[in-house]
Amino acid sequence: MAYTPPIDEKQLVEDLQNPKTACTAFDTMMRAYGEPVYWQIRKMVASHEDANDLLQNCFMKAWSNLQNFRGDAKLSTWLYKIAVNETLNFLNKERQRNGVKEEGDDSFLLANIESDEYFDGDRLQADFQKAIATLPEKQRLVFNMRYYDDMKYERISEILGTSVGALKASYHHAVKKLTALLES
Amino acid sequence: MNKQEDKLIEKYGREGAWRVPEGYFESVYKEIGEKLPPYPELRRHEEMTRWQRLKPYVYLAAMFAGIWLMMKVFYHASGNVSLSLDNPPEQLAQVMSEPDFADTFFIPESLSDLEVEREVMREYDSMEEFERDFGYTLESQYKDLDLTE
Repeated sequence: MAYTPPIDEKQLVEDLQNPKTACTAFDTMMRAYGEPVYWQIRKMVASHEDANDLLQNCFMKAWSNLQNFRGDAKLSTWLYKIAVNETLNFLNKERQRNGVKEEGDDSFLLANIESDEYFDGDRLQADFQKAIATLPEKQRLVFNMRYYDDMKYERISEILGTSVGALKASYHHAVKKLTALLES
Repeated sequence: MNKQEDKLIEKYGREGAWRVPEGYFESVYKEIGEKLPPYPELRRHEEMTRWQRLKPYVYLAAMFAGIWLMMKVFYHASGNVSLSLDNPPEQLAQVMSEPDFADTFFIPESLSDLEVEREVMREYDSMEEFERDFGYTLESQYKDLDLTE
């Protein structure tokens, strides 16, 4: 479920843009948004080690771009956007490294899922994750945000820059495709 | 959403099966905090010099002068072809279609169409002069335009 942190975001943004309070505010921001951002990344890349690297990159980029954050969007939206970009770049590189030409089939990331130290699921869950990994990456992002985090379409729209209508269609297709795949 | 979604939820749940090492989040926030470089300083807005303010206009004037010079050169090189912007000499059309052309004759993005138009109009005192230079015959309703306004 989506986590709503009990913080005063306006104050937090002001503190982040003040050199004297930025470090403390940044720590508050990480604690407020780090976990949901991590899980978004993790569901896309599967491996904890990769998700850990990407989370760190995401926060380092956020830190170095603090002055560019104008407060037009929510802090969490901004962080999600950075995380999505980092994740998609990582997946592109991984596909190239693994000789995968077809965009959208990232099931190679889950080849060893059952022996993954940080995967607690049974065979059923492993199959579900493998099926999700065959969805096109944007569809997979939408599916994860909606199915696991119960995120509103309007919020997903802010993060991905896609219309609500297109997101609904995307989610609908994803559910349909997964159902068909898992039943077969 | 629909029955298919309900079936997925019923069969696979919404919790996922991933987990992280014990105390992971606490340690990663600490690790990131320790790695942060110094606070990124604001790039201060510096007052523009007179040259910086004038530069786009100088470039614009140079661009028009350059284009016009090229048209004159090609006009003489190509004999009796009537010269106008609608019918530029072949060589000039070729040069203008080169990808480097836009780089060479840089048009500042900050200028609006209106500003560009005004800049061009400032170069001419009368419509006759404009018509003569560009080979246009303007329609009658434009004849009375006062370019000196």
